[in-house]
Amino acid sequence: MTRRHLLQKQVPADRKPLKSASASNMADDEIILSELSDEELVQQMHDDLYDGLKEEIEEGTNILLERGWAPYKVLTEALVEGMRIVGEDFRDGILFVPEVLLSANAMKAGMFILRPLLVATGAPKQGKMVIGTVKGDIHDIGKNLVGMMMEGAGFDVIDLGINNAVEKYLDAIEQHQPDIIGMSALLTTTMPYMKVVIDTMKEKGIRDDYVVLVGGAPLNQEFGKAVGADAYCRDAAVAVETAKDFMKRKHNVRVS
Amino acid sequence: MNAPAAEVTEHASRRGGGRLGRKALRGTPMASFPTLVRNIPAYQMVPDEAVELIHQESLSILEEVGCEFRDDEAIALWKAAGADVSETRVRIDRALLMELVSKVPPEFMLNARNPERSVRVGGKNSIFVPMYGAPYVRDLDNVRRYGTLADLQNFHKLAYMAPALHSSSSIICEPMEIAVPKRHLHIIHSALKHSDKPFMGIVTSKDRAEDTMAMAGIVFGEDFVRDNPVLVAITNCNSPLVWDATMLDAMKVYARHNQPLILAPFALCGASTSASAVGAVAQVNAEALAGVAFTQLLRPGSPQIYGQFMVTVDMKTGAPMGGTPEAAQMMYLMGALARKYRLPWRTSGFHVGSKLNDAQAGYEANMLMHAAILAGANYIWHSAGWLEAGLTCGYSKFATDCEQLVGWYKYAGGLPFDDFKEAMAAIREVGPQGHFLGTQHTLEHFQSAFFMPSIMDFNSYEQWKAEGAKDHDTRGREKARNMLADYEEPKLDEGIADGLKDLIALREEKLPDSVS
Repeated sequence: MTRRHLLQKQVPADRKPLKSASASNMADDEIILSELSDEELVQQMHDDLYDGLKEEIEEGTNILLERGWAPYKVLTEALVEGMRIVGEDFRDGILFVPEVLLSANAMKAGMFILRPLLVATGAPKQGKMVIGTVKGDIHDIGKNLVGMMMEGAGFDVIDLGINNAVEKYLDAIEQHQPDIIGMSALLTTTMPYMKVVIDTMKEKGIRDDYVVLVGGAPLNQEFGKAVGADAYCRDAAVAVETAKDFMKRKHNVRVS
Repeated sequence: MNAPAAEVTEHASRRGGGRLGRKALRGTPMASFPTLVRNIPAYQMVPDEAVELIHQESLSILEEVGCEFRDDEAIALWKAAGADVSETRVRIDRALLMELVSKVPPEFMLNARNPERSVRVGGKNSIFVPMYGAPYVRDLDNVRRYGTLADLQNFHKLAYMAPALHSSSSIICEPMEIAVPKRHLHIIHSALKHSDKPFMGIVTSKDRAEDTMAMAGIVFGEDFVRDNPVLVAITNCNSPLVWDATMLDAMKVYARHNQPLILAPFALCGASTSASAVGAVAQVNAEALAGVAFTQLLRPGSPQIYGQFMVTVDMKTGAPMGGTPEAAQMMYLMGALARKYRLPWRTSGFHVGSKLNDAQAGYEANMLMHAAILAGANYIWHSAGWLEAGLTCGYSKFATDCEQLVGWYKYAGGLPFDDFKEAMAAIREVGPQGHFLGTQHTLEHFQSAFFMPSIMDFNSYEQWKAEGAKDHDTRGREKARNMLADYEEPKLDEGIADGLKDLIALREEKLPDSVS
């Protein structure tokens, strides 16, 4: 099936697929993904992730699975590696926020196909995060960005939204058993509430079972340390890097 | 404004996208904005009656006091035209003056050696031109020293690469190591070789003006430069009320080739004018109009640029100042007068007094450029590099000015409504809560919707610190250094390049090694 046929099939007539202006300026030769070798296809998927082409990523993911690739191999070699390139160029100022979100969206579409298969095959998890803006604070642009970037990196993200009291975090921890708790605040008046959440976790004796990441414009490294978080993340890209680092350590601990 | 993506030979060429495709697209080093067409109204700071009052006073000055024209041929031309002449003093009747001024076309095309970089000057059309005349540079290591030919070449390269600069100027800094009688040849050669944008002529003597025209003739064709503007030359009136022989000589060469002159008094207000902003404007207007009128005796209908360089003097020292409120106010008056006369007009944009590319420079530059833009100036000069009242051209200042010009270009271009409907649709798409970063409208427009500077830093404190906690001046120097590393010389026909070299060799044989 050609790319164009695919688009016609999957996209409702009244909405064109999301596409960045730069990507759509490029030569748009039709490529038949199923005719590519494994190696070519994976490279093409890296490019398609970079360009945020959601349908192409879904198709590529399915083709690799049909060819007998293990879901975990599809995840790591095609998707996570592709998003690593995206993350690098975001850091270096070549890609911009809206484009990275588009890439993350394409990644998410691939993840949607892979997730049940990963669970079924008992593949190592990328990680799960519960994220929310703390009590008293209704600002969520930064938190949303972090959530989307984390999903783009293959994490499962449970977004609690805004204005979360400590009970909300505790309920979510119990229900979802995440690896990471993320807390966000924009106001100097609400940021101290992060300590309330962490102190409560300590009281319950569960603090050390989770990685706690905090972020928001008025925070800094010292504040993160003072409230007892594992790390302060200055922006969404750093949050993803930090989360990946902690997951790696966690896996290493398990292995050793 | 993107150049075509470079050919990508690796796997990514399949869809032309991916990392390599994007890098090629984003990394395009050369872009050039067309003429700025101002799409915002000009701001008039005083009522029409005040403009008329200044106009009438200027005409009375030229009728009653008159203006010096210190050159025999000029005097003869004025006599023949019917002016009241006694020795070198010329008193010009208002009817004669305004008849001559009315011959100047309101707009003209300024041709570049690359036709894509040709620009229009006058009416709603404006251009940004880098500075002129600095003996010193503040270099890439932040050292202040005399300028060299290598510095001048660097500034021509930067001018070529800066998208919002429409000209390479000429003497951005003085190549001080070259003997004065031969210097002009190397200045013009560098401007023509390292950039394909319009440039500026030499005015310090008749011979040098003729050499400039000869070099322009090699590049554009001798016939072409007899009638078509390819350069702009600056002639200053020595305020108060003197047009001297050197300037008149240069005017004769250029006007007779139909090359536009800037008729701009260099006024240190309070010293070479009365200590009054409106008084200074009335005088400078008289001086500029006298100069414009004279060009029409040389060649009726030749394109000219009316203008001014007016800064106030610091009464503590007598030194010229830069971005002061009065300098800005005087621009608005000159702009209103220029529109009354239907003349293209020149002012300056970033001509600050500060020694460094620092907060003072930023405040001054903003005061001046905002006025230049709102006053509707057409030839916005000294728009890159200028420090220390023009004594120094700074690499950092040059780079940061060029970045700001991209912002001003956008500001003056007005507010586009072409995607308004889509923007409204995006509101309906997102609704309350959520965000707009992922909408189709954002994806299509984010790159052009808002100014995206690279030297100005809007990162988080931590990110800025991680990158070395560099100040604006340091980042400007780095940008200049990186731009120079990426520079690629524009194509110049081999025959033309050889022709220029031959002419320079020929002239250098004849010209002395020192001023007599």
